[in-house]
Amino acid sequence: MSTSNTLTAAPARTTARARKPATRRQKRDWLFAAGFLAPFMILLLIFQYVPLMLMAKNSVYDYSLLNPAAAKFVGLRNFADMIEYEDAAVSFGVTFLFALGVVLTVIPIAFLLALFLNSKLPARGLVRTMIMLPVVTSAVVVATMWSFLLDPSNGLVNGVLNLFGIANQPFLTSTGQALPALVVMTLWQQVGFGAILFLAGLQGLPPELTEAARIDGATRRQVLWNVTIPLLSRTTLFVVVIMTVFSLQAFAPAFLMTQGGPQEATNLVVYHIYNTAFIMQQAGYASALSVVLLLVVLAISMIQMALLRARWNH
Amino acid sequence: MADVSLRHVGKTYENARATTIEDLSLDIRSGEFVVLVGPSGCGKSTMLRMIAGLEELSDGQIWIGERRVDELEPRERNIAMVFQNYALYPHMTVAQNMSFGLRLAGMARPEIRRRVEEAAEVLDIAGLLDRRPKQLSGGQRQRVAMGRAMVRDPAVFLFDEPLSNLDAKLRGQMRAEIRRLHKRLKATTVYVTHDQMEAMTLADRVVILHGGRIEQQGTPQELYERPATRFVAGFIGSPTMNFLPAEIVMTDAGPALKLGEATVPAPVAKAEALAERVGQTVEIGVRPEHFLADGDPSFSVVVDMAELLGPTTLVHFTLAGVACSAMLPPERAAGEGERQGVSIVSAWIAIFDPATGRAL
Repeated sequence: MSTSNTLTAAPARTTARARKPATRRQKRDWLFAAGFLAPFMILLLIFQYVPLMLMAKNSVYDYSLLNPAAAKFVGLRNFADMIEYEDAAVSFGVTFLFALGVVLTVIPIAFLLALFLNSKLPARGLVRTMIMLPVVTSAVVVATMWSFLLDPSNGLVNGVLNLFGIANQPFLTSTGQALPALVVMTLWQQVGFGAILFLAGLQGLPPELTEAARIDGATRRQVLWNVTIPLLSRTTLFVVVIMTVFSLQAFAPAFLMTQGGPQEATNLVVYHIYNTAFIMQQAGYASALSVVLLLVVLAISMIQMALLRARWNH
Repeated sequence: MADVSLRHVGKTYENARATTIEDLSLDIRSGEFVVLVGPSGCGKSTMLRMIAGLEELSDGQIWIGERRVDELEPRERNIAMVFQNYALYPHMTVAQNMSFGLRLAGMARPEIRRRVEEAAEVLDIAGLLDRRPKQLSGGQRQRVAMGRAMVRDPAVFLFDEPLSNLDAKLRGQMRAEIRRLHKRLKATTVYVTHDQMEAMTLADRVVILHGGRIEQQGTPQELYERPATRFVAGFIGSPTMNFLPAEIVMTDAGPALKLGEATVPAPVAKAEALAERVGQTVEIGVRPEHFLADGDPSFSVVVDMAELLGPTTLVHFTLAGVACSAMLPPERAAGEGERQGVSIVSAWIAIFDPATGRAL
């Protein structure tokens, strides 16, 4: 009974407090907070939110970058076009497939690497450096390097395959192999980041929980399955979202390695937007695509937030 | 239930930050409640973790019952452990936490349920079985952790400072409950604490560790009445024992102890040992409760501070140049700045060799 009393009493007290005018100290605190936030907020406003709003506005115009003055209001025509013409569906489809491939490969491999890095096995420092190197390397450098590696006639990968008696593979020039090749390259590039996130999660687990499980009779595998993995669900979800969002925004591989081809097999959304706006000069339509991409990314983030709050909040 | 035997156990660390244990042997009888107690860093938790299999031995052997276990994994040792921070699995309900070990062992569901419900009944947590650890209070978590150990019916129970995260009142309650539970289950128990009060109230036998060695072991009463070293004397008892320098003198009535200007008769039991050391200075230990304020006082002291504790008053004063405290009945205790007559119950005086710290 006493609990319910305090619960009903609490909001009343809060409203009473809210009516009081701010004290000098509170005003000063606000001023300080605003002072610290201002530089970042101003930059964010100018370079992020204003362009975002312009983009939203442009998405309802038929509009070319060559002649912005001739922009014509078309309402939701651009969005209707996205449904009517295939390009958007294909591009989003390819991108989702790419994201799925990246997430499904990065998660298990990054987790295994994190387990290794968290153990007492030798060569941990070396492995850590090796897997972090691609993460800090420019995406352009990585894409260029992998273009050489995957060259259909004299790439290193084909050279190695030849050693095992396998004939040259087309890789980036094949509709079937281009997207998987990009997935493998992204996996190589991003797995270190995923592993570091998982490692942080692992090191945040209280060691007593694993010890308790070992005493309770669990083998190392059972500890992993029953204790470690469930307790890392928050980290896993975080890695999934980071990798998904990263994949949805990928541009460099499509731009530098495949130009979206062959036959749009790697026409990732951001590359498609770039092409539409700057090559095909349909900035309005590109803006509409961007709005949809933004909403998709936003939805994923919000689902993550909701899940983190509702479940796995140990 | 089983005996636990530590035979010449040693533990050394490469970085030598933690305490090293050297050649430590300890036999724990089946059903016995042994408390390992000592100050921080004395090696008590390391010893418990070595029994549990969470820490490897550098030397020696550990036996549980008829089996040598020091090469076995924790899960193969048939032990259960209650951790200081309870170590409940946060993603499992209370019932799942308690049944985890049984499920791993492949026990039949009805039997698991029976055991969990029975333990929950005993520990008074039957209404909490569907809750998660986050929704429980500290005391309830403590009970769940004990329940998780109980349901497995292990050969040995290990407790690693299980009450140190609870407030004083709850600690007292849980102490009584652990004692009651041990009487009921008669399980071999090794309990680690840094709290001498916990050790005294719970143990059949207390093992006092200091710097990785066993300083003394015995029943709580033995340790209280006959501390083997100055360290044990100072560690056991609250408030702590007073230590004073005294000269051994010979009187008509036999050897006596000269404290400043006054002389107190030596304990009869020590007369022989002291007779050989007449003229030497020793260190004597007097517990605050062994000062008396009635009868013929041996000393007259000025009270520096008086703390009323309820049934007694803790009186602080300086005797023979050393700050002392005495527990006196409130009606006989003098106020601050006043003179107080005190005498010492000579039978309870502990006498230590100042060079070795060992009791004479």
